[in-house]
Amino acid sequence: MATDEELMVEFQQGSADAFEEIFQRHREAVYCFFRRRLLDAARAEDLAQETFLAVIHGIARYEPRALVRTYLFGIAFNLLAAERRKRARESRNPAAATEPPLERGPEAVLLVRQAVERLETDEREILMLREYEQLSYVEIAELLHIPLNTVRSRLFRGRMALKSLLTETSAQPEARGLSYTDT
Amino acid sequence: MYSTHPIDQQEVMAYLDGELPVERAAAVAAHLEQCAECRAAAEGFRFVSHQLLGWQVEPSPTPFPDPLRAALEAKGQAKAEARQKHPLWGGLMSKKPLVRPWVWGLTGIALVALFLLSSIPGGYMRHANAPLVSKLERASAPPSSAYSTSPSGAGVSGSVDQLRNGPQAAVDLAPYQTAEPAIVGSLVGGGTAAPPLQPSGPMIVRTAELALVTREFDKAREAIERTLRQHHGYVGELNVNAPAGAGRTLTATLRVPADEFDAVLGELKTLGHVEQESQAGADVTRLYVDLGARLSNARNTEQRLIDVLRERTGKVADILAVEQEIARVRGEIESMEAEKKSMENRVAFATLQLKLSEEYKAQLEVAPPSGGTRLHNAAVEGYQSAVQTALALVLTLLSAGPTVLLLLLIVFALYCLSRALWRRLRA
Repeated sequence: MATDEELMVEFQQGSADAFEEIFQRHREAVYCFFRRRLLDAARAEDLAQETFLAVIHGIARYEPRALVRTYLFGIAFNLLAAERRKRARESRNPAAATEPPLERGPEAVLLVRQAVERLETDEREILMLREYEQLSYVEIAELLHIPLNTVRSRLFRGRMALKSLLTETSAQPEARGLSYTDT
Repeated sequence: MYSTHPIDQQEVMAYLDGELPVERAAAVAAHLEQCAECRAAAEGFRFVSHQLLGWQVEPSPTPFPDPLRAALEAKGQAKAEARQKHPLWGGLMSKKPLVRPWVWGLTGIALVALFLLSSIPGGYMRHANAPLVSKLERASAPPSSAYSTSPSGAGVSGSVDQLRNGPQAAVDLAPYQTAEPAIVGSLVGGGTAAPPLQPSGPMIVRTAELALVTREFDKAREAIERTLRQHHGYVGELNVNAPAGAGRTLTATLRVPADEFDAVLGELKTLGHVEQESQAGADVTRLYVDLGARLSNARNTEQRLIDVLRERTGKVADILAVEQEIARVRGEIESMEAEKKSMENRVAFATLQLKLSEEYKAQLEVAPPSGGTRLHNAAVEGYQSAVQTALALVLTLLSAGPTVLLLLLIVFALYCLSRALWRRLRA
């Protein structure tokens, strides 16, 4: 079976089938990346598509410096940052803001999501990149442009804080709630 | 949050994430078997990961979005247009090049050419790895002219001025010759690296210090230079100090061929009174042999890495890692070769720290000045004294004058008053 890097080279040479194979392999991971960070499922789908569109448009300049997975999450991370900036601007203009749809799901998932939202922003991001996107410390450091030791220390603090939050939440049933925001 | 253990909890976390080097991971694993606290921490990390895994997301709704399909088709259309404009390049960039017969033909010709080139010793590998092999050839080229063997195997050429600029003379280094040119051939032809260095005798670095005092400083300096010329040495560093009211001092670092060292020392000691002399000899044979062994191992490692690179299979990241390792090993080899050359130089040329001092005699006082000079000096001193006195008088009047004037006024007023009273009394 061809590796992701070989498929990218084939796509660079013109093989649409190679791109479709890459898409099939990574679409769930990219979609889940956005879905966990955005309430709006439709917007998460749009951004996932934009990620792969960026791969198509940028294939001529592509160089195999890192894993394809890391490359995709790098594009996704930049798109997410742009989306957050756009939402921050819109939040200053109440007339343009739209209400996110109310999320439904198992209580356990909501508890985890609530706890993750309560983490510090940088600790949360690193924790999610590690746990869900399965990026290595080095890949996270390159993606966020921070030193490797910073990744390790923030990941450690994030995990310790989350453990404390999850333990506290499970010990206090009345502290559970359904209010949350985009992470 | 750090414990007193040799392994902190961050390392436990990194171990669970598979981010530790192999040796460190083994140490952490061994520690976990014995430390309940760290095992509890590891359980905590696993608990967090397990909880996070519970946050599952629904699958992506659209199998292959239409915008992506449209973008792919647009890209394919653009390539088809490029192919129409440039048939040759368009054909090469076509979607399925492998089905075209001419591609198979070209591939076959290329394979035959590859086979023919590979049958020429070193020819194909030199072309295939041209940048890498050319760099390695330069790095492993025979040493510079300083250590090239002269045809007779002995003797030195060059003037003292050339020698002062550095060790540019050819010196017999037969005991230290290595098979370095063979390395280039082995890299190209895929043979083995050169055997480790084996000196034929002990390698001694000789040093000495000599302090002389002489009455004829200039003649002694000329004699030093003459002695160096005769014995094929050179001056590494030289300083001359000539302070006023004291003798001149020359300090120099002389490099002399090891087998001429004793003769040079003997001749220099005749140039003056020997105030201090010391000699030393450091045996660096073992260091040299160790260095040779390390150099040989590094070259073997480099050769194996080049063989791995030649295969060019595996991921791009692996190839990059091999190339980085080759660069690192090459750096080590070059460092060791420089160290070897330095050691050979220090053995071939002994070092003499020389200090030459001039015997100094204090000068007598000069004759006293003439009568006219003394009169002149006295007139000048008298004028200066008068000026100083007048100035002091003026300063005194200025500082005391107002007070004196006030007192005079008071005295005058009292005098006038007393006269008036006396006249009245008499009347």
